[in-house]
Amino acid sequence: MRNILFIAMTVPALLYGDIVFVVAKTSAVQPLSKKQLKEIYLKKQQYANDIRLIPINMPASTHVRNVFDRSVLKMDESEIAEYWNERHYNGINPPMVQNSPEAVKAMVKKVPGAIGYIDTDLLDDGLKVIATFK
Amino acid sequence: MKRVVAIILAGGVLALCADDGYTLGHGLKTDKLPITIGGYVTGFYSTKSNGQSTVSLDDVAIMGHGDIAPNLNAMVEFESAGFYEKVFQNGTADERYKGTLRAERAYLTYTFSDAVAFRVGKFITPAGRWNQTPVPVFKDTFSKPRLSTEIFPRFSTGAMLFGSVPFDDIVGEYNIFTQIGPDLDPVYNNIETSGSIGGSLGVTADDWSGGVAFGKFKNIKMHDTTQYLGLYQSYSLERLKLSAEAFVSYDEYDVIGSSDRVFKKQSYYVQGVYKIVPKLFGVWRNEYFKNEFTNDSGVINTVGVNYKPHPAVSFKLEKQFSSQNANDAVIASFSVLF
Repeated sequence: MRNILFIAMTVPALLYGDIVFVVAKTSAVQPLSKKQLKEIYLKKQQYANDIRLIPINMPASTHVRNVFDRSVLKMDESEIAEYWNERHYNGINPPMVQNSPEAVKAMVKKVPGAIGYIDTDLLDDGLKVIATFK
Repeated sequence: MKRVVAIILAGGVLALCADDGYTLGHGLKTDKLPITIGGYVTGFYSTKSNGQSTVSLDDVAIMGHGDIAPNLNAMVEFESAGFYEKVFQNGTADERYKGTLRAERAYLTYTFSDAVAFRVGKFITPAGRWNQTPVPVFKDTFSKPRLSTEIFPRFSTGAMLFGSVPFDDIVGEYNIFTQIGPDLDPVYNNIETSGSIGGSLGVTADDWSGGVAFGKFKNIKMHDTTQYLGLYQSYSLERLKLSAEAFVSYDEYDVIGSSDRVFKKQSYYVQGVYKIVPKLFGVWRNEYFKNEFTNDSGVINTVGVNYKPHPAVSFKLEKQFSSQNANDAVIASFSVLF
């Protein structure tokens, strides 16, 4: 049973590469720390390099989103929900969600200040990497 | 009542227009309008040691917010406090109903940068921690510490400059505000003022935060000018969250011919919240207050549990032990944010 659990937990991680945070290749946004990314996705920090940032999330059911919540936000589902409840009371909405990595990439390339995260295998020439996480 | 029904119906129409679905507690967002609609409802049953019992649908509030232009955010909140209330005492029952919605908050915020934002309108007074999110669904007790309702006005109508600045692992925050003239809608404000000035300086790290708040205001009904100063702190330690606030104020009364014109109020609370199991929290709070003007002082200990089956829903049961024996109370409550 333990072996099955071990395989079930490790195989998905092996199937996916690193997660990269990306902006448009022409963007002036410079590399950001994990703490800065956390502040940006919690909408506590809205600017970097004098550019107003638009963080884009993936759906909660995706692998990249789970890795992001666990390694960058360091919050569980309930903590995240409670956090955004309080922000809703203060007039601030959670980051917008795009349903696919392709949609994230398209938005990052088109919208000034947009920042998203994708699997590293999906990088292309129109994107600039500003942080990488496992 | 008609207004409440109209607003609920408007919410229903918006729900039908919602493109992104709806998450309880996050409000209803539609791509067709640049606003998010939400609100909250609170109800409670309390029984006091003086024999009085109350059942109430206490707060019914509707709020809307959104980015209406680049860097410009709008927020409005209308509330009916004491929406429905029935008080039982000495074998009689007194029933009250208030259907009127009043403006609790209404402001515009223009953000220049993380360090500088400007707000104008009616907003929550940036004093202490409790007052920043005064809705029961965010709290672990339905009862409020007295310092959050007796030292400073809960709301201010005027202008505020605020922002945050990061320093390595901590973030510094500041607020400066002023009110010139009357409250936009004084009905639900605890203290009606004709003018005020104040601010706060705070620091936030991953597992702790703290700060100092200060201000001065003119109390219309009491004909006095009050200056206040407060400290607040909170720590998160695994399953335990500790918070504390302490405020002192000096009320200078316009009493002709009186030599004793300045009276002191002081109050503090210390609160611990422990996560017993997921969704269930135990809470204890100790608070002290003293009011020289009314010659009122005492200690209140509150113990209770907070069950949160969903992050936006809270059921609480608490018991208050007051040094003023007639004020011991048991309170059962629910609150929902939508």
